[in-house]
Amino acid sequence: MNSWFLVSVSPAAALSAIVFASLGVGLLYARSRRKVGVLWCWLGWGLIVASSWFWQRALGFDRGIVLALLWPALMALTLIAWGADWRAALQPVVTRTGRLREYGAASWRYRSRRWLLAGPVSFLATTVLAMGWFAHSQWSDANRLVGAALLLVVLWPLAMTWSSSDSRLWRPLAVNVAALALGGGLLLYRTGG
Amino acid sequence: MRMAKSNSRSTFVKAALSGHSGLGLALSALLYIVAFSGTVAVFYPQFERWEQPLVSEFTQWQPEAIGRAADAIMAREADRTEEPPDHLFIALPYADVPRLAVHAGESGAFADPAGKLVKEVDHHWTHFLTDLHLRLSLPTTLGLTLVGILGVGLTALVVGGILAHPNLLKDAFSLRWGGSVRLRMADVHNRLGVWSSPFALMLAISGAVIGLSQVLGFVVATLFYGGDTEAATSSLFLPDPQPTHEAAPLADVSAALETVRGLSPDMYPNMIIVHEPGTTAQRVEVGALVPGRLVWSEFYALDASGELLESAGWSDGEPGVQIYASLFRLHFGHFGGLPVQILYLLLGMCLCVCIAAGCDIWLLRQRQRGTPHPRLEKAWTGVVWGIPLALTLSAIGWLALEWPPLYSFWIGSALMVGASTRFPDRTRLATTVKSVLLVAMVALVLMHLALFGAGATRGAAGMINSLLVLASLLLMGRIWLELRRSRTRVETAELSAETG
Repeated sequence: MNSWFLVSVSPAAALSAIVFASLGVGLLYARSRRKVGVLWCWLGWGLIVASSWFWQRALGFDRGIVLALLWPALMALTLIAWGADWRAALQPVVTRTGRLREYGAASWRYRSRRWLLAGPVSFLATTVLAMGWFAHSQWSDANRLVGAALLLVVLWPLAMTWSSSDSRLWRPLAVNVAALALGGGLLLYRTGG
Repeated sequence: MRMAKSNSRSTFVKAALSGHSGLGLALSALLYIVAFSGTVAVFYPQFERWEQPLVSEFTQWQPEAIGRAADAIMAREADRTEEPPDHLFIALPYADVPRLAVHAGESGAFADPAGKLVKEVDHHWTHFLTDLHLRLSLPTTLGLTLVGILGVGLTALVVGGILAHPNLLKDAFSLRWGGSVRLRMADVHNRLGVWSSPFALMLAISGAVIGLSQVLGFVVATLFYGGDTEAATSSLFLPDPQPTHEAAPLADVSAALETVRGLSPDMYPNMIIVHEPGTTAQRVEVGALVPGRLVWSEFYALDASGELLESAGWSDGEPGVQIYASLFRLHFGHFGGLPVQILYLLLGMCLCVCIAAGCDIWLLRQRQRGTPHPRLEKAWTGVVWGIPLALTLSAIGWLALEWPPLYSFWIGSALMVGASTRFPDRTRLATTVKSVLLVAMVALVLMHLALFGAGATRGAAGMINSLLVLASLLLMGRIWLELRRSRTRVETAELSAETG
């Protein structure tokens, strides 16, 4: 338990954060079991949000934000495990077969196109868009470099999600092409090439 | 109107679910290896100490002793080769890693509080573990990029999973443990997925930036800096000096430490890097832990006499630099001591279970559609339980016989997955692999005790061994539960045969 990172932690603020966040999740849990009204649910969310202030007081701004996001998860999962019917786990499991209808599997060619779009095409489009933004941003080198990296790792997954779920592939393709054209245009304009 | 809206919502959810399944299936095995190795690697500082538990530990040090340790390792490296090292690296002891380690070129050793070299550094298995997580044991650029892409994929899976789950808040605490196995799996996958999504997103995004940084640096350098990658990333790091290859006395690291200590009494110097040591080009970098911050360290550049030249601004520079500097502690969970490491371990295990359950749901759905994939089902069981087993066996192989863990892990994993597909029954396969894993974990603890005696029960080694014992007990409970359930199933079947 002896850690340099815990020396600067305020125990009172950390304890308050734990109490607020745990109570907040507890109220959400009680609401899900229909034991309390809707207002208590809102109070639960309020307590979770308020706990982030205590976390920041306890650990500092950035570390506090991280724990404010992670602690409720641990509490919620603990409550779920605590409320689960573990005796049922000892009962034989049932695997029902033949209930779901057969479905027409997509062709190999269609699936290949989909993954080509979700992978390399989306990567290319979002990278070019991020570079276009990088070229035109007035921020400092460090800010636009990290900004472009974050833009890429947020936009690419979004494009990936869309490309892998939309049955009409032309829609994500059109947006990818538009992003490519926009980013490419910005790059060409900037580099004069 | 309402029906049309409901149909379009249902179509959207189906499409999102289909995309989520397809993407998850494509990435599952590699994602599972990265998630599992990352969960274990949260404790890599403790694993390094566990590998060599008999090294002396202390937290108080004198700058002069650090200087002596630096001179000693440079002399040892000079005895080994005439080629001068590029860097001299000194890890200073502090509460979380209470060991003084010095590295120059290929030479690495621990030093005692007086600065005398005592034992060679040998963290082979821990380095294999971190390499497995960071680059799947592949060459650096290829591996980092692949793991970065997996980070992007995990982000897409979290976003897709949330979109595919219309009753996100309503079902937030629901876990139906009885009845159909698919329902149970779906509940486990959804509850773990929803509540650990902030954790998964943090890890996925920070991992993707770390993993794709080389590719991105290359793209930026090509487009804007005439191919000079160092110039492209110079705003984030302190510059490396140009080598001169002219010999000079080694930089005064104790003076550099005194200078940094004088800058802020709250900061704690924890590492020193001397670039081009023992030459006229040498430059000292001192990294200091910043209290109350997520940033890795603040870095100061000093000349050979210990005069301050500049700082990297990781704790007080541009927002971009501070965000970049914070990604590493955020990703590895090294910002709140053991409590945060345990939190990362628990949420990391949740992520692993979520990935395993996600693939199981797809396999069950195929079975329910009348198109089962029995070999794939067994292979997946082989991955889920075989990877932890291969990792444990690689540690046993390294500690007992010095087998390179790179080969024992990958060959072991491939054999296990291959052998799994030949197993007659999946349930029995799962119980068998879990039982072997249990035996392997117990054997690892016993072997560690036999090798290091009381050293295996103290400090970080004791903690890792306790975690292994705890994991063994939990696994034993699970095996017992599964055996009891299968017995109940047999008894139920016998009863229905008698009455039927």
